Amino acid sequence: MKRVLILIIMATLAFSAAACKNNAKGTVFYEKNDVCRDFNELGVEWGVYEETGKLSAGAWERITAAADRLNPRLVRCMTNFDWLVYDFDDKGTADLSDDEWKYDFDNKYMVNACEILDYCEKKGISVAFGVWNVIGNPDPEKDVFKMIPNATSDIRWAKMTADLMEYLVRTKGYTCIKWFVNSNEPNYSGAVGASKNAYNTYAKWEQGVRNVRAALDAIGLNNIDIVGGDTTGFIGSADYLPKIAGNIPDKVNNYGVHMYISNYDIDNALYGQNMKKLFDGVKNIDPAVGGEKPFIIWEAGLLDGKNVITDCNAYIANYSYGLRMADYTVQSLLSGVSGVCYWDLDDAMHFMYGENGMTAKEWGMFSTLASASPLMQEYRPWFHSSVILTNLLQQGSHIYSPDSEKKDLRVLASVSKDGKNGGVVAVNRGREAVTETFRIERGIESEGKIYVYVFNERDLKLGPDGFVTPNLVVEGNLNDGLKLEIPAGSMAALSSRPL
Amino acid sequence: MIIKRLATIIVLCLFMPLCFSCEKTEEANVSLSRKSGEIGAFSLVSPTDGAEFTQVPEFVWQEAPGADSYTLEICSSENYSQAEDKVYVKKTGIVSTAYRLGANLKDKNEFYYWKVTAVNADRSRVCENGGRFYYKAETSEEIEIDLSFADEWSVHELGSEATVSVDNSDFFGNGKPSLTVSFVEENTNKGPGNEESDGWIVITNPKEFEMYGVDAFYFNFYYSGNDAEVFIRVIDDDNEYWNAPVKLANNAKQTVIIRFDDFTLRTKGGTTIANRVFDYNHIKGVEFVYEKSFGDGVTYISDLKAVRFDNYGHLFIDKLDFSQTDESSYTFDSYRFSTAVSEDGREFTYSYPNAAGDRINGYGFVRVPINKLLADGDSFSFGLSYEGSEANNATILIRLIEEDGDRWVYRQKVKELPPEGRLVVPFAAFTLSEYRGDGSRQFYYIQQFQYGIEGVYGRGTVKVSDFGVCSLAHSGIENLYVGTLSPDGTIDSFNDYANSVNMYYVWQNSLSNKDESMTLDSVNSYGRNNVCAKFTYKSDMGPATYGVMFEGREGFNALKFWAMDKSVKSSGAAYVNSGSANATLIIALYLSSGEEYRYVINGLSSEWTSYVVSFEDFTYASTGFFAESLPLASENVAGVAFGLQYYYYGSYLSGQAVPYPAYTPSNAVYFDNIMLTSADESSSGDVGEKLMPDENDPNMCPVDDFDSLTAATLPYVIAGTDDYSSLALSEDTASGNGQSLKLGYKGNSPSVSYARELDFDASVSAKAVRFKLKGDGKATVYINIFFVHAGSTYKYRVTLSNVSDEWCEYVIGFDNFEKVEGTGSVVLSKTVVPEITEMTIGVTNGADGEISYVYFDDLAFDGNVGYKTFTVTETGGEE
Repeated sequence: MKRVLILIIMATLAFSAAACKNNAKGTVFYEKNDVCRDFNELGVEWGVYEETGKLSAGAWERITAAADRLNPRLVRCMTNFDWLVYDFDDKGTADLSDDEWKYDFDNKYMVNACEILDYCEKKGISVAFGVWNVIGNPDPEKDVFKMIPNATSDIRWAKMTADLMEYLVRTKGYTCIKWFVNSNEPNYSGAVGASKNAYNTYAKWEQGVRNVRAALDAIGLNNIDIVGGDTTGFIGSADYLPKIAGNIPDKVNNYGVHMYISNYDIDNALYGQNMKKLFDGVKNIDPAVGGEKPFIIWEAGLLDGKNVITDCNAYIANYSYGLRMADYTVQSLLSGVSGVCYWDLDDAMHFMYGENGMTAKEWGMFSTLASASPLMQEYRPWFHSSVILTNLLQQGSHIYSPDSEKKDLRVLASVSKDGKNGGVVAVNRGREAVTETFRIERGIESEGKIYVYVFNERDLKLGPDGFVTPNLVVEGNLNDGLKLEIPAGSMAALSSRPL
Repeated sequence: MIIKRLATIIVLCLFMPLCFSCEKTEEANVSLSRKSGEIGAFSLVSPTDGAEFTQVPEFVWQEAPGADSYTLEICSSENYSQAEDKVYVKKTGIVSTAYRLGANLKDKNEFYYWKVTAVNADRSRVCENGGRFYYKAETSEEIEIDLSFADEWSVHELGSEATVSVDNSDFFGNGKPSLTVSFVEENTNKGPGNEESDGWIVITNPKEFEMYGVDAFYFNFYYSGNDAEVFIRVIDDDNEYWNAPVKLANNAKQTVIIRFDDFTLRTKGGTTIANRVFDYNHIKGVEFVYEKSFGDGVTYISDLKAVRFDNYGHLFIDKLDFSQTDESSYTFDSYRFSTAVSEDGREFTYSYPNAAGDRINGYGFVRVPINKLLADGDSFSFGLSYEGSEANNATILIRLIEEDGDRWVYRQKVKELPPEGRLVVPFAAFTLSEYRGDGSRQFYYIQQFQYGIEGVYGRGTVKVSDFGVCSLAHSGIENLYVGTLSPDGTIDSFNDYANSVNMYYVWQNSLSNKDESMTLDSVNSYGRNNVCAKFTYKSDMGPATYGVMFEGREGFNALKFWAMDKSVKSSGAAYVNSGSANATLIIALYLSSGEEYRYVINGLSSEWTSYVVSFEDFTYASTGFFAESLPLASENVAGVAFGLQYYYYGSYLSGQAVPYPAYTPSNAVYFDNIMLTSADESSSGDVGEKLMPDENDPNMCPVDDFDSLTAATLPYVIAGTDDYSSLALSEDTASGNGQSLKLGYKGNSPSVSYARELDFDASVSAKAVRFKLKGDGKATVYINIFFVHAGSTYKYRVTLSNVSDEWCEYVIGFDNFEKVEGTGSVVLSKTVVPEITEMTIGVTNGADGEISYVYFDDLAFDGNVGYKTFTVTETGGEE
């Protein structure tokens, strides 16, 4: 009797499976296709404003309103030691250990940093706080610190870092700071005399991490981890990250890269393939990657449209930028990446400095520059697409890849850790509308509504406050499935809750 | 029972997978299909047409039947063109009927237009009514630019290094911090390899401000350093750089107000040029720019704010109201005048009544405190009148003490006062009379006016009225800066000005050299009864130019002029300049068509020299106003200008001399007899003969023995203006032979004055003056020797009392002479003998009021005796 029962059950299961295979329609996200079990979420670069004096009236209110709506869980916030250090005294000796200097933690840069950190602290946002580069002037004749030759391996870098972090974490009490960024894009050397990274090598950077780790440990800041790499591009990251994973996995908690990707690689999904190779390569060396050690793209953006003189992106206000960044995000997460931090929040944060003054780096989701045209100040399309993504793809969620791939349709699903929320992101990169049914296997305890958001120039809907609002709200459950026509060149987001 | 359970399990097993993996009837099937078809009419609700707002309003419109969403457009014109309009905002996909922009509209006091388009799947419909609202700026009385944080300012990397910090010592006493900018010589003097940084420093605060309602910058400023030029510079809304000079008063705590109207567009250096309009309603940064700041220097800047100029009018002098100054605050120099102010405050009189025990002894001043900024202008306008007994001798003086303590004076001879008594005196007509600051003319802030008179011993009253600041160009002077080219080609001989101030109405000087001044000078002129012009310049600055326009005449092909350079070489040891520091003269001829031709003379002569420059040697320098150019011919010449400059160099770098500025001020170059002439070749030569040492005694320089002179050739003139002076040759001599000079005078009266111009050759070496003198037993004789050194005129005097009525020979060493004029400390010695320009003889007595005579003979300058020599030896003689 027992055997009969087993046979019946097996037969039944076989029938069911066969029936499903034959009858399945659309895209299903099975629990087995969980590509990320502890998603770090999405975020944004929100660096210390270099010139707060150029902000418009009410800028801070606009910035925080935008941040409220964007609801990032990650923020990368960078400062500069040049802004904070003064009265350097090398005591007239070559011994760096006896050098002394002072800190100005009351100036506009630190005031602004604290405003940002106050916000992050209040909102529970995880912050990677870092320092752009070593202190000093790239022109050797004007450089009194002489840190540039040794880059972050200079013992004073670790001392300054420890002092800075002690001030922020201990004195100011910012528990939101989770990581320290050990200089920006160390693999990007630049020209001697113009770049502070000109003399950097991996070995110097690694020594810098070792020094910083020891310095932080020495003052009891063991809980502040270090971003490993913060390198830019595939080549530089493929150089640094395996070495980090091999040499100092105990010193680094977070593998970070910057990726500015061409439209071609995004459009043809080559980016996702390359990212997966990079991710897998690192994971082969350090299995903790993607798990307890997140792999985060700390600067995410598109290369096409970049003006190398002004460091602006000419396409930043186009809908296509938002669509590709949604595609970028989907490809990133499906390749195993734990989080994506968009470059960047506000045009007003960073500037290029030339002979004839300074120009804002227009690469943000909006601009709070007082002198920006109203069109530039308004929230740009990619702000709205990012709002949809950051609110849908929650921290700690599971990310599921689809059971099958469809040409020009990049999709993923997420279900929150507690199973109360879930959603689907579908990016139709094709020239034709796609009608597709999406279904998530893992149970979602929703209230029986599905909020549908569509991002394209024609269909994006804005409420009276200027923020995105759903196109549709339908009765249903993503476990049951939802069939939707996605217009060509659009992102659709389905969510069990309003975003 | 078992079967039943089994069946149940089977059924459950069959259905269980279907619960997830198979399509279910509950699947939601949604479409994004939009509404379609006709869209109903709708209208804008608010802002209502023409409404005024100081904040961007919420936009509200009616619901349009059949609409899916709305597109809101806001524009600075009704064109709604992103390409053409200054402001254009378009928001699509709005699902509500109200919307609030996130953006600011920075351009205010303008109308904005708005409209809404309702959209569905296949239709769109524009609202029935167009909207328009007025976005009004909230104006400010004052906008403070905080100077509390040094890190808000950056130093331009391409310029010289400077240190920016904040001083909290209340340096200006205004209770506010000061931004300090300091720099040191080794950074400001980098040489030609780094030209841009040669003393060029820029500090920038990129903070942006709205400037609605204000029209000027106000700040406290202090500068100590070399003669830099400092500008406040602003980056305007379309990224143009606009600057205005800060009128420096070195080592003085200044209050500076600069109107936005005084800013000019910076066009050099590749900076942005957009609409050429100072769009100051929104500025993108404030800068302080230092140029030519060679050497160590420090600046304090405090209380920087944008203000309404009119609110600060009380800080300025426009017209003096004499009643505003309490008479108890007057102080007096040398004489206690009686003063009075008219009820309306327009008139101020000061009198010297010649009462017993209250006699004026030659000169005196009333000091009136002012302590205000000078309103815009380049001249003072005032009425001036004199009543008294000494109109022929009296000179009214108006002095002012500027911010850094330098004292300047304008001298107005009473006899030259115009009949209407109204004067317009350019600032340039004031000459330095006491050096307490930097010696630069900086009439920005006046500490004190001093009203005085000199050459008076009797009684009189001076009235000053309606004293104000004006612009020479708008003062009603006819033919300003236009001279006359006489038929003989004379442009200016400087002898015919009825009042010396009139020269300023004919000649125009530049301002960029910061040391331009023009004065008529009779002491240093060549020839008897001659007046020349003295033009000054400062070294290491741009040229000081002096020009005059006139109507050309045919018949000339050269420019001729006399010039004598009395520039003073800096004593700095570091200079590589060899030889004297005589000026480079840049002569410009302007044609009526606008072309400019130039000729340069490097190193003008230190002696009076006649220069002739053929038109053929002038080179074309700039294009004219018109398409058709004219040849350089005298009938086309419409003006001439003389530019004076000199540069010091400290070293050579890669073969190039490196500037090492000395900024020597008050270098004087004298000009005379400027004319067009005929000459085919350029030439130069001495103007006249010099006094030479005696052939048999090189230490003796005979000057006059009068024996061979006639009245026509007598080199002495009556310099006084009294009616009792007389000058004649006499046969009364010590030897009984030849002639002497007979000088008339009157007792108990102002001294007579007889002048003899002197021009010694450099080979003359003298330590004493030797002459024979016969008096009347009661005369007091003054021997005055004038020389010009370093641009300053010195007057040394020896006084001989109770001169004997017998012929005596006087040998008076220079040490017996006392300095009675001259701002420097140069003494009369053999080294200045070549700089001696004149000797005057004065005579008076206090014994009676009779006309009497003294006799003078055998004048020589003697180098065989010592400086302290003083001998009087009777020589006998007969009448």
